[in-house]
Amino acid sequence: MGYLRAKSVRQGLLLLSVTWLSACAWQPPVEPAPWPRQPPTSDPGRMPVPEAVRSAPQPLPAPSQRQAPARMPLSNAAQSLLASAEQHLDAGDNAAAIVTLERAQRIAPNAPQVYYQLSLAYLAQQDYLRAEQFALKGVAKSGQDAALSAMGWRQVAAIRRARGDQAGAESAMEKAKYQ
Amino acid sequence: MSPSPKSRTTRSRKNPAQPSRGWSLKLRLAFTGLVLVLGWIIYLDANLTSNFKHLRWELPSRVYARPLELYAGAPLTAEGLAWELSQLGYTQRATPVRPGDFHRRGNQIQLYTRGFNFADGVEPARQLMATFEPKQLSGLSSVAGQPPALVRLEPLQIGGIYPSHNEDRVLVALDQAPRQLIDALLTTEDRNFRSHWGVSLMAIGRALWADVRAGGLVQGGSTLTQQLIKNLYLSSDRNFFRKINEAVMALLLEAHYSKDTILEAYLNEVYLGQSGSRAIHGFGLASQFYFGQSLENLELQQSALLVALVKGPTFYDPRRHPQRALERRNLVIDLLATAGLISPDEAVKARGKPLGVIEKPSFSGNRYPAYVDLVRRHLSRDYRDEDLRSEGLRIFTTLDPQVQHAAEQSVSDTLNRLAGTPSQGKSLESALVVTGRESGEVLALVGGRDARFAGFNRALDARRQVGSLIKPFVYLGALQHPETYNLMTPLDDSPVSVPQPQGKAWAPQNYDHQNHGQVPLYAALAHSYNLATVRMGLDVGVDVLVSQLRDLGFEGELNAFPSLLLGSAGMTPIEVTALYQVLAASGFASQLRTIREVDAADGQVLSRYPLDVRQAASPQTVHLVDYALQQVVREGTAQRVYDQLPYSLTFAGKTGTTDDGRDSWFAGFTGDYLAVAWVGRDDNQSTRLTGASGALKVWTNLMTRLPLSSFEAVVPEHIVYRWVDVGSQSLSAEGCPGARYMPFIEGSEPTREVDCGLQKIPGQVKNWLQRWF
Repeated sequence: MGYLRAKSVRQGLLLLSVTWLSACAWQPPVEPAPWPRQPPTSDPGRMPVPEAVRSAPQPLPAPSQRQAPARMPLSNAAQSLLASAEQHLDAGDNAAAIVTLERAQRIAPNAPQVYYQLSLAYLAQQDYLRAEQFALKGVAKSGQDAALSAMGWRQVAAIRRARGDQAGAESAMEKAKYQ
Repeated sequence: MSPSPKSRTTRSRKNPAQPSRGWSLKLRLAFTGLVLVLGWIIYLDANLTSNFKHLRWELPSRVYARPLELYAGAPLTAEGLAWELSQLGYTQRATPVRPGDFHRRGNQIQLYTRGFNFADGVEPARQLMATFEPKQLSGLSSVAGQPPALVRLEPLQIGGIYPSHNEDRVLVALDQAPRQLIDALLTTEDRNFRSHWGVSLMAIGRALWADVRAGGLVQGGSTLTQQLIKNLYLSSDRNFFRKINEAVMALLLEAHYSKDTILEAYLNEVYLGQSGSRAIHGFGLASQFYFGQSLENLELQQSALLVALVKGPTFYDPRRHPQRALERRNLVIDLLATAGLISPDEAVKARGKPLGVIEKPSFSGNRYPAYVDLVRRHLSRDYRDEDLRSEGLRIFTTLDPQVQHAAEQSVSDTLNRLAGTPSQGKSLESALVVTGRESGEVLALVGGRDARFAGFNRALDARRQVGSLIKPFVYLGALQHPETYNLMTPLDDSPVSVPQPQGKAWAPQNYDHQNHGQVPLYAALAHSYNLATVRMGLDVGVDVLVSQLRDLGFEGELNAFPSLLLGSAGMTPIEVTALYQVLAASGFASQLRTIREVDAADGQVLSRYPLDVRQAASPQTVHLVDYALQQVVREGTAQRVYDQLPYSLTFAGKTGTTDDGRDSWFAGFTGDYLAVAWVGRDDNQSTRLTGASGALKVWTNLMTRLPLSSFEAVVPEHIVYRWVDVGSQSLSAEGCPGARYMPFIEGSEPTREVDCGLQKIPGQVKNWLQRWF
C-alpha cells in the first residue's frame, strides 16, 4: 500500500515535470505575414468567372526553373544508341545511323543531340532539306543553352550554304552570333 | 498376189470383223480413250494449277505493333510489362527456363525473352530481371553477363492484311504453326505424308482392310493431299468417279508443288467448324474461333483438339459434344505418345487438361480493326492491293498495345457513365487518337464505342465542327506580332457584331452569355471567351488564320469567314491531332505515322517511313501558346482533369464545344502523349455536353491508365520569363500579390515596374520569409 502510494506520487511528479517542461518549450506561433496563399479551389460545378487578375502566383515553381536543361544527362539507353549511331556515321552507314537515331528519339525526345546527329546523317546523304529541319529542331530543343544553340545555328548556316542559300546562311550566322 | 475383188468382197461380206481390222479398231478405241483420258488429265491439271497458284501466293502480310523497349527510366509499370508479355503468349513459370517464360514477384519481373530478327539487327533471346518503381522501369539486369542498356521485346502481331475474298480466314504460314500441331496432324491423318506421291497405297490398303472387316465404309485412307483436293475442288459426293478424280488430282498436285506448300495450303483450307451460316476454314481461324488465341501460342492439348476436329468438326464439336471431343483429343495425344513425338509425361499432363474452349467465339486475327484500317490507308498510298498479297510482308507499325488497350477502355468506360445521365442515352459515340508527343507516331486509335467492331471509323472519317478547338491557332497568329500582342495584352471581351454580305450581322455570344470586359490574352484563351477571340482574330485577319492552318498542314475545306475564328470548320479527329502535334512539338509539324517499316519475308527492307519534321511555326510563338494552354488546364475550362489526376502534374490542352453541344472535344498533351477525344452523336443531334463534361472525361480517363509525366516545355531562345502584374501591365516581383511568372518574346515584355513593397526588403530576409511561407 505504501509502495503504491509512493509509486503514484512519483508518477504524478513525473507527469507534472513533463508538463511543465513542455510548457516552457511551447512558443506562440509567429504571426504569419500577409503573403498570398494558394487560391481556394473553385467550385468544380461552375466554370469560374475570373477576376481580371489572379490573386496568387502560380502554385508551381516557374517553368524555366523546372524544365529539363538542354544538357540533361541522357539515360544509358539513349547514350548507347547515340554512340552506336556515331559509329554507323563514321563507317558511312547513314541509313543505319538514322534508324538508330530514330530509336534514340523515341527514348529521349527532348535531347538536342539526337536531332543534331540526325541532321548530320541527312547531310551526309546530301538531303539538305531534312538536314536543315533537324538542325532547326535541335536548336529549338537547345532552349536557353546559348552555346548549344549557337552550334546549331552554325550547322544550319553550313547546310544552307551547301545548298546554295547564301542569304539564309547569313541570317543563320547572325542568330549564332546573337547569343 | 492381191486377192480378187470378188473374193475380198465376198470375204468381207461374210466376215465383217476380220482379226486385223478388229484389232485396229480396238487400237483406235484404245487410242481415243487414251487421248480422252490424257485430255481430261490436262484439263484437271490446268484447273488445279490456276486455282492453286491463286491460293498459294495469298499469304497475308503480317502487321506488327511496335516492339516494347526495356531500359532503365522507361515509362513502364510492372503491370504494363506483365500485360504485354501475356499478350505475347509468354508463360508464367516459377523459374523462367526457356524463351517465352516469365515470373512476376511484386515489383520485379524475371523473364526470358524470345528474341527477334529486326531489319536493323538481331535481338537475341535473353534472361533478364526488371525492377519497377511506381511509374517507371528503374533497373534492368541480366542473369548472365553484362546487362544490356536497351532490350527490345519481339513485336506483337496485331493482324494481317488479306485479299478481299479471304477476309474470313486467318491465314498462317507453315512456320507459324506449332511443331506439335504438325506432328499431331501427320500422325493422326496421314502418317506417310512426307513420302507418298499424293496417294498412299498403304493407306488405301489399310482402309480397305478395315472396311472389309467392318463390312462397310469406315476408314478414309485419304492422304492430306487428297483431303486438300476434296476441300478445294470437289463436292462431298463420295462416289467412285470422284475418288478417281481426287486421286489423279492429288498426284498432279504433288507433281507440281512441294510437300511444305501442300501442307501449308492444307492448314489454311481444312474445314474445322461451323457458326450459323459461316464456315470455319483453316487452323488459324479455328484457333481464334475455339480458343480466342493465335495459332502460334497454342499448347499441346489445344493443338490436339484442333487436329481431332479434322475427322468431323460437327460430330466432334467441343461445344455441343464435349465428351466426344475430349475422347478424340486424347486419342490424338495418345497417337503422338505412341509415335514417340511427345514424352509419356507430357501426354499425361495434356490429357488431364480441360478442353479450354471459349464460350464466345472470336472470328478475327485483327484485334484492332480501327488502327489496322489506318495502316491500310497509309499502305495504299505506296502499295497496290495485289502487292500486299505477296507472301509474308512484315509491316511494322507504331501501335502501342498498352496505350490502345487503355484508350479502348477509357472510351467505353466514359460513354457508359455518360449514358447514365438522363439526356444522353445510348446514342453517344466517341473517337480517340493518341500519338507520341514528339514523335508524331500514332500509338492508339479508337473509332467508336465498340472497338472490336470494324465499322465507321470516326477517328478517321467523322468530319465534325471543331468549335473552340481552333482558338489556339487564332492566338498563334496574333502572338506572331509581339509588338501588339503578348500573353498579358488586355483584350476586349464585349459584344461584337460583324456585318455580313447578306445583310444580317453575325453577333456571337460567350458560352456563359456574359461579357467579361477587359481580360488578359492568356485568360481569354484559358476561359475560351468568344467575344475577345473574335475581336482579336478580326484585328489579325481571318486570312491569317487560314494560311496558318495551311502552314500547319491542314488540307481540308476552310471558309474564310469570321465564324472560322470560332471553329466553323469541319475536321476529323486525326486532322485535329496533326494540328495539335505542332503545338506539342515546339512548332514542328510531322506527318502522323502508323508504319515504321515494311519488310519482305526474307527480311529485306522494302520501305522505310522515317521521322520527318518541318518547322511550321516559330518555337517562340508556340511556347507562348503552350503557356496559355497550360492555363486552360490549371485554371480554365479544363480544370476538371484534376478531379482525377494529381495537381502536381501540368498538362496543356483545349476544350471545344459546338452549338447546342453537338460536338464535345478535348485536345491535350502530357510529357509523353498527345490525345484528341471527341464525343457526339452520329445523327448530329445535341448531346448537351461541353468539351469539359464529355471529351475531357474520356481524355482524363485515358491518362489515369498510363504512366504520366508533366508537360514541361523547353524554353526556347529569345524567350524571357518575367514576374508581371497583369492588372497594371507592368513588371512586378516574385511574391507580390497578383504577380504572375510569364513568358515573353524578348523585347515585348513590359518595361514599367510596379512596386508592391516587397522589393525594398533585403534579399536575405525575403528568402527567409519565402522559405517559411
